[in-house]
Amino acid sequence: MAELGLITILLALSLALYSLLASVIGQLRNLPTLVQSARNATYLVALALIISSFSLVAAFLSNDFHIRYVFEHSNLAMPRIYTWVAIYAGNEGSLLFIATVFGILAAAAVAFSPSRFRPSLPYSNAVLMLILVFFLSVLATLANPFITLDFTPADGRGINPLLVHPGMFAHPPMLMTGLVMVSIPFAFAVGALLSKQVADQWVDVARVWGIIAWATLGTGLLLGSWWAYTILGWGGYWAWDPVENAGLMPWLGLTAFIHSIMVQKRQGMFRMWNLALINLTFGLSLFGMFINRGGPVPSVHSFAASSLGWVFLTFMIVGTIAPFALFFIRYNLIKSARPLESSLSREAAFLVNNLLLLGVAFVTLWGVVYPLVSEVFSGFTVTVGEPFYNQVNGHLFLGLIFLMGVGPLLPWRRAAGGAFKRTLLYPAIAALATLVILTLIGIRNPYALAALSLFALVTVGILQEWMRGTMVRHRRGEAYPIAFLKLIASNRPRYGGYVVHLAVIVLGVGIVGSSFYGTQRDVLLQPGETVTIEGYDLTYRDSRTVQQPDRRESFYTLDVSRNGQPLTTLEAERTFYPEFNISATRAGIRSTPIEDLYVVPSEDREGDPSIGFRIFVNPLVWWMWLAGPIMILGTTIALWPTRTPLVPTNSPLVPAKAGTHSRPNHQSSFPRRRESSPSRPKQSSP
Amino acid sequence: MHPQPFRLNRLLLFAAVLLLFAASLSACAENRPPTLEERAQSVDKRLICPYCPAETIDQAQVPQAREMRAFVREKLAEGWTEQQILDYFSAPERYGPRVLAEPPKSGFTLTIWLLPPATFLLAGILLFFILRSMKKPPPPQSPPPTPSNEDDMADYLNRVDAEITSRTGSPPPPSPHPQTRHSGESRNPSSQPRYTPCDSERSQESPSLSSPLRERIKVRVKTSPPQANSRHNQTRHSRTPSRHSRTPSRHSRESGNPLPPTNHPNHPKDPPPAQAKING
Repeated sequence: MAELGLITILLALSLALYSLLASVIGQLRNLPTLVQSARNATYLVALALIISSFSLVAAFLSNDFHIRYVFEHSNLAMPRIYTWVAIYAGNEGSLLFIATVFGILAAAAVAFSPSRFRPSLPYSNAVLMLILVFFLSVLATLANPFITLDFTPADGRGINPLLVHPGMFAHPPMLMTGLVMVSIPFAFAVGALLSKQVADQWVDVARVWGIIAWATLGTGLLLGSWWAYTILGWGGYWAWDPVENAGLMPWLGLTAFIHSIMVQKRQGMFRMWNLALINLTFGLSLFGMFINRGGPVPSVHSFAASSLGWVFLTFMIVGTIAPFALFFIRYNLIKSARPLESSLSREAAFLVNNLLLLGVAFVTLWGVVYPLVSEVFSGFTVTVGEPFYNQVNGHLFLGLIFLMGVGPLLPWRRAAGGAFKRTLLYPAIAALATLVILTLIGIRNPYALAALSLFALVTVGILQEWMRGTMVRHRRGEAYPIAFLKLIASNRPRYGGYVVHLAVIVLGVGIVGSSFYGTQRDVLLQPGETVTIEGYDLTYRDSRTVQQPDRRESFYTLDVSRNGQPLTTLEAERTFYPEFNISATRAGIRSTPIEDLYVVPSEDREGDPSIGFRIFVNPLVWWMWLAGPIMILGTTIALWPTRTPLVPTNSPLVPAKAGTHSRPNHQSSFPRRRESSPSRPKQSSP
Repeated sequence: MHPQPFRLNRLLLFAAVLLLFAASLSACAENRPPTLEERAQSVDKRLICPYCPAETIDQAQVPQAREMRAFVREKLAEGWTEQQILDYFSAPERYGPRVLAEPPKSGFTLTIWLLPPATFLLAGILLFFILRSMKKPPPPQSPPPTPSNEDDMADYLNRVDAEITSRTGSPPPPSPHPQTRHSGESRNPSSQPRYTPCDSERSQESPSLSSPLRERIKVRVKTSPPQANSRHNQTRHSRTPSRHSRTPSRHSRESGNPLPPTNHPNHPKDPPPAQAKING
């Protein structure tokens, strides 16, 4: 297995190099067959990497402890299903995973790109392969997962216990996938720059991949929060940890990108800005990988830490500077189709939205690197923790939510004052009503008040848009449900975007509720003893301990009642791993839409029957996890392929030759510019 | 519909009054002093556990963090202030400033607090100027057309042809005489929209016209009173005829030029006159 894995890695490396060179040379020398062979090589790279990954999986399944990576991250007692976590539990394996995912994505990006992209596709392919060559050379030399030991141990060390959690099947792979997927819109942008096709051709494809990457990264982050909430046992879900931040920053960049790219798609503006933005986002994702690998700052995520910091640092610096250099070389070609007409327009709102999103990303970046800055310039180490991020980013998030309410109500180009005020009337009334009601029921925190009022503004604004559209269709004779569905189908990117906005509001409600109105108590309970917190009576019933080969599991049972009515029985768990000297806790949680009751064992004294518990009452956290499915739903609506092209494409003047390599189905899956021309052949006809 | 904006203004006034009311309410609200446990928890959240990476003593589960938590409660009960406890732990002889989750807003670490607002201010000013420069109409002296614009031209012509084809179902007629074509259309403006870009939103008004064009339109409007009453609807539709049929001197001056000034690089989407096809 080790040999097969290593050989396929080397094979993939040489194929990627070939694909890189062949596509560039083929394009420069105008040799279509060479370009085609480069594309085929890209597909083969993905295949080779899949084989390599599966040989690692096979090594895990057969307990081949002769391979060092398997020895370090697995043992005989590990549940077999966690093989799928163990393959990316360490540095080498996660790199192989990243390379494999990236190989598959690159092949998909090349295969599914419409034939319109033929002039720039070889360059995009070359960029993708260049990135992959980097990963593969690191895998082949510095971080080979298939290195064997001199002997074959009887048992392995076992997987890191913190990773034994259902969330681990999805959270790390989604984050890694999301991080590398940023490279695909980036590759299309660089391809556009290299081939001088810098107008709007790259936008459609970049938008689709950008949104997929955005959703993947967002889901990964949310699952990470869920994992932290249920297993780290501190009652929270987001700590502004450097590695969390490393995933958040590219996500913010992508959020800015998928907003501002709509302006280019619809209005032909911000062309320069979009290219710069995707370059920046790619730089942020490289920074994320660097923080993950190099670990110059302490983090709770030290699973994949390695000595590869300098390699990734170099990669990050080159990968950020080179595209910007290219951008400035091509600067003269990039011009917007139209000037901005009014500051009170959707374009301007998008621009401010980008400013705020990048502001949050910048503050986060600054917080992450500040310990290094301080060490270099003042000589002492400082820590930048939650209070800094909450204080500085909190204000920016409020501004973003305000824009989320107002922006979609603004028309493109320029808003007529009176009409805009009328549109804003009901959302503003809703916001004010929320403010008054919340003040009257005793909420005093200015941030909570501001956030919740703005949430009302956004929600009513969206509902108003939906209702108006539905009414208009209804008056033309459609029943309400059908009118609503057809409304959404009529402009999927827009109405899908609204659904995502609603998901953000739902997420925000959870964050506001739990961060401003949570309660926390540390108690020491004898068996049979009862404690009352926020109206809940918790009685510690008993504990039982199960000795497993590699760990000791203790379960603590608590009966919960309220006003004498028994509600439920919670079971909190604490597992001790002598091999790692780590205790992992699993909270007992009673989750309702109103609030979570969260119990985690915090202290277990030898020879003392009393147990320390930490009890939280976290309002509204339930809504945070609901936001994930809503966000995915909205993204799906926004990306759902358009069956019928929005504009007639069967123009006889499109050269018939352009269709030889086209795949009509795929082509229509990238919605064309709505208001654009019936046909936009790239090559000028006579 | 006129009273509506005023209603909103009144509403805003009402909102301001309500806000003041709410503010005074919250000021008068009972200020329950935080309990000792609440104060202790706020201190816990501001201290980083020195023995575990990037976790506060509130989050960390190691015994040392537990001891520190007990210490915090003990000292608060003794009457220490929260700041005294933070100072105690962050003293250089103990753990130093790295145990503070929030870098102090004094000394060198003031920079971490000052840079973001400063950058933001700068970015805001920059954005203001960018917005202003983006709003500015392009300079009247448009650079000479370059051959690279020919792609836009051909692209546009293709679109026009495709539109014609899709309407008539037959290929475009082989280059009719420009004068007849245009004069016919200037008499019948309703047939003109095919020469506007297909972007429907773009054709509402014409503020994006480059200024030389505007000048020309003004000239034309003055000389042709019958159309002056509906200038906004007409300018866009009739500009092509205006250039060629009504100002022949200009036409002759530009006839050798495949790209009239309308096709300013900032406006590649603006429709070049259809006549250019015949000229080129």
